[in-house]
Amino acid sequence: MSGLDEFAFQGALAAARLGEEWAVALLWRDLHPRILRYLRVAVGDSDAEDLGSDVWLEVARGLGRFDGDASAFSAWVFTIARRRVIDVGRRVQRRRTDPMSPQQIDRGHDEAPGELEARLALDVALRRVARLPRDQAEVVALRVLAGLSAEPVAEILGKSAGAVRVLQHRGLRRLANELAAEGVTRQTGGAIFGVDEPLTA
Amino acid sequence: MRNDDRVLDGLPVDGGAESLASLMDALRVPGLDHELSDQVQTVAAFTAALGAADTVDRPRRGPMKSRRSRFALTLALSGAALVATSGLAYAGALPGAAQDTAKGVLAGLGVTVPGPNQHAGTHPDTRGNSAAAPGRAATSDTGADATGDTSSGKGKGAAISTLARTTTATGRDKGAIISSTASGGKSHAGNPSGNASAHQSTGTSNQGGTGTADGASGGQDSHGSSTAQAASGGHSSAGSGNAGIHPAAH
Repeated sequence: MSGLDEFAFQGALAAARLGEEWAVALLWRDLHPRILRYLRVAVGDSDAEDLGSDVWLEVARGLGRFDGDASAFSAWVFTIARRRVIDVGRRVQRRRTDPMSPQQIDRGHDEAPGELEARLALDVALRRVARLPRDQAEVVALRVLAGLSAEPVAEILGKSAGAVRVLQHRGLRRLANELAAEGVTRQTGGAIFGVDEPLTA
Repeated sequence: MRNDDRVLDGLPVDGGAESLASLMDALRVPGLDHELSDQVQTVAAFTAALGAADTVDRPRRGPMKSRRSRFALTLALSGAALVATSGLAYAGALPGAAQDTAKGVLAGLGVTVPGPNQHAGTHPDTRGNSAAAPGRAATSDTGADATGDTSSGKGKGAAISTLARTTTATGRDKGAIISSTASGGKSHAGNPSGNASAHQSTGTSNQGGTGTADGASGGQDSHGSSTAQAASGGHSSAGSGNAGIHPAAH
């Protein structure tokens, strides 16, 4: 799901290795939001941003040794992110802080209505995925956010591809059941929130 | 493709999974402003870390230099060994087989070095019974030193060997007979140790006691001495042993 095609990615990668800031910015803008979302699912909001910075520093240190296409780059960066998640898990008990709830969002923030709606929808979606059992949440997040198929996700998680498919199926079924139980059937922002209140202030 | 995969990959799904697909689409939304607000700081930190990684990587090139150095050192040592070997070959100072090989190799390079038998005189390094080597007994240093008789070394060794096999004496007596014969009467191995002091005074017992069994044969027939030692049930060694303990008698 990278926004860069392979040609653009390889050019940016080569320039980033030379320290070209525009190229670093291109790679970062393409991947960082998804890394951040994965970290929010895995460790919660409070640690996600710090971990995200750590991930990119580690990417910088290892960039000279990386060799591969855009998909391999994504898998590599998410692997680094997951290692950081594991490190945090070793230091402290996992704090599954819910992503910011709609009520906590500063609706007075100077955001375009479309941006605000997307942000609210994203936060609710992350919260729903984060509520899944840990291994299911991780599989769904990596499959969707890293844009990877079951095989590379299995490699990142150290599981078989079959086990990943079982986990993704259970996770999706659980999410579908929740949505059905809440009467969410329509493809609207309100449906995704599962709340009756309007999306905008 | 299964519906799960279609949902996760963002592909169109059937009606029952629309809400789920919407949830996944919300996760895929392009980067939002608040997620990209740290771009300037992060990119600066990234490029700084990139430069630091280059600096850190430099020492890793050390082993490459080290490998080059080791290769050069190995090459230099190999060259030195080759020169030294060639020099020894030119001087004819290598062991026979090595000299022969060096001669063949260097001949291919147009360098003439002496063969293994060049300085052998009358005793070239030929295969076969050592007894067949002409003049060997006559030039044997060992035979001359040990027996004092340069002409009878070979025969004496054989005689001692025969004596060791045929004598009816046993034990200490057998050792004494053989040792005495081998030393031409100089050794009194097998005699009571009290006699050793007398030998000590002569100043000859040590050589006679230790060198006889082996030396008497001129080194050409070790069988004589080994048999003498074995046949005497270890008392033959007492002969040399006796001599060996003489200093303790002081």
